[in-house]
Amino acid sequence: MTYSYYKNMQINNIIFVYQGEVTADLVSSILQMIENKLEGEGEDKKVKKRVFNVMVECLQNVYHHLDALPPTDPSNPVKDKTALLMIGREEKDYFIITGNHVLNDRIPELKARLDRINRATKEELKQLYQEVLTGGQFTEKGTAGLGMIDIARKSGQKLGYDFHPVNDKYSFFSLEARVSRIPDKG
Amino acid sequence: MASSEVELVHSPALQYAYPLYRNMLDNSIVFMYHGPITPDIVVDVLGIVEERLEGTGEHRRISKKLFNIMVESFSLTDEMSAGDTILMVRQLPYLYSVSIGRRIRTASVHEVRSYLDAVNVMTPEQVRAEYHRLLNDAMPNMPLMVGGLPAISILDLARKCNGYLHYSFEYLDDEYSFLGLEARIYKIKKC
Amino acid sequence: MQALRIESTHKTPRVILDPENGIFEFSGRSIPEDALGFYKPIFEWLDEYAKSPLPVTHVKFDLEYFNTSSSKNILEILKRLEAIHTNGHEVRVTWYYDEDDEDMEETGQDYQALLNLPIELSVKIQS
Repeated sequence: MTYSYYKNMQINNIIFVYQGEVTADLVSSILQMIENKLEGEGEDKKVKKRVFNVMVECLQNVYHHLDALPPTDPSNPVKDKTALLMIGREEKDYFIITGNHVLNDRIPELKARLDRINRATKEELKQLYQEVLTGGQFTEKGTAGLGMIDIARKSGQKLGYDFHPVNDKYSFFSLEARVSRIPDKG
Repeated sequence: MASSEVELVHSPALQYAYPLYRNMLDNSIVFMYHGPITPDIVVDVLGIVEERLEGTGEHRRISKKLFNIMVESFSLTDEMSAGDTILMVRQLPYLYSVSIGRRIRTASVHEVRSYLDAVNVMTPEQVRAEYHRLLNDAMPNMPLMVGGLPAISILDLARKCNGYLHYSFEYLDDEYSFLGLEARIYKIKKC
Repeated sequence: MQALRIESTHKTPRVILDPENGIFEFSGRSIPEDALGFYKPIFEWLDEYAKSPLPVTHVKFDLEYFNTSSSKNILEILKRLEAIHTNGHEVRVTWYYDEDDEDMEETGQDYQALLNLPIELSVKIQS
């Protein structure tokens, strides 16, 4: 068993992956590890900062999303309070992938938001951020609305995403942020 | 603005996210780390495990054991295995486990397997005695090695988990194989 | 003779060796990259101390966790203390362990079994 996981992590350039409940303390422990790892890799200072900041946003985003969920319906076999956190490094980019369950009826809205974010230029993203901040077009309670915009802004790249159907109520939503290892980019 | 299809970046890792999540969930894997294992990583990973155990009502005894096993399991990696190491922690309602996966020379597989089998049939007293012997005998900088692994670390792990060291070998080629070693801590003793 | 003081890091223990009052202390964690490199100066210091030790030396071990390469080096420390004790200069060792840390307690028992040195096992008071 160990070998197949090792192989998959190697092929996909994954450094670290966590599955389970996400608490504030866990987030800070993971960030501590990443910070030290970046330090050890001798990455450029700017890159280090950027990667770290995007990571913070991604982890906060999933943490707040999970936190805002209603208590798990006991009849639901899906553990909607658990999440996936994945960090990896490729030749040109670091990537951070977060995954969590979402209600199927939220998907169209999420997709629309993500596509809008991905279509936007740097300036447009800034405007979008202000809009949401002042409770404009995207009426979203709490920080979850700003989260993804912030991630896109900080990473400087498009957000990757995937919705994997689980059952008629839930799907698994994976979000990917990529951060360039080249100092001048992004 | 014309609604052009947003070019979606679907990296391999993103494609793998859900399958990985399911595999981890279904096999009770809490986290995995792939890369060189340094004392810094040890400390940081322990920090993560600590958070995981916090507020679970776990007996402090178990969390201490888990810690100590993790500390020692890192001694099983070295420069040779450096980039090709995986650390895995599993958490079930009735057990915790720490697994280390690393490359070893195919030529050493038989030696390592024999040693693990020998340790696994020892009684706790025998393990202790052998551990004392190794602790006392060799010079600190010339430890007894079994196929590239420090024998004393293997014994220490066997002692700490009071049971068997579960292992698996994967033949890769004539030069290298992959060793997976798992130390389990059972929360409830059934037999 | 100068006292030896090494501040702790997140991988190496705090070490205080005071020849004036004969109080030695090892506390914290021990998972150094280069175990021998860390412990060698301590061995050398103890060899020097052994030439004219105090009538009574108190040694305290209060470790959170350590790996087996550290265990071996700690044994080397204890062997030097044992020699001092056997030569007529009393050495009293207290091995502290967390109440819930069976492994630390067992390690203390290992050292008791392996050496002719008074090693007292003592439960740490929870803070």
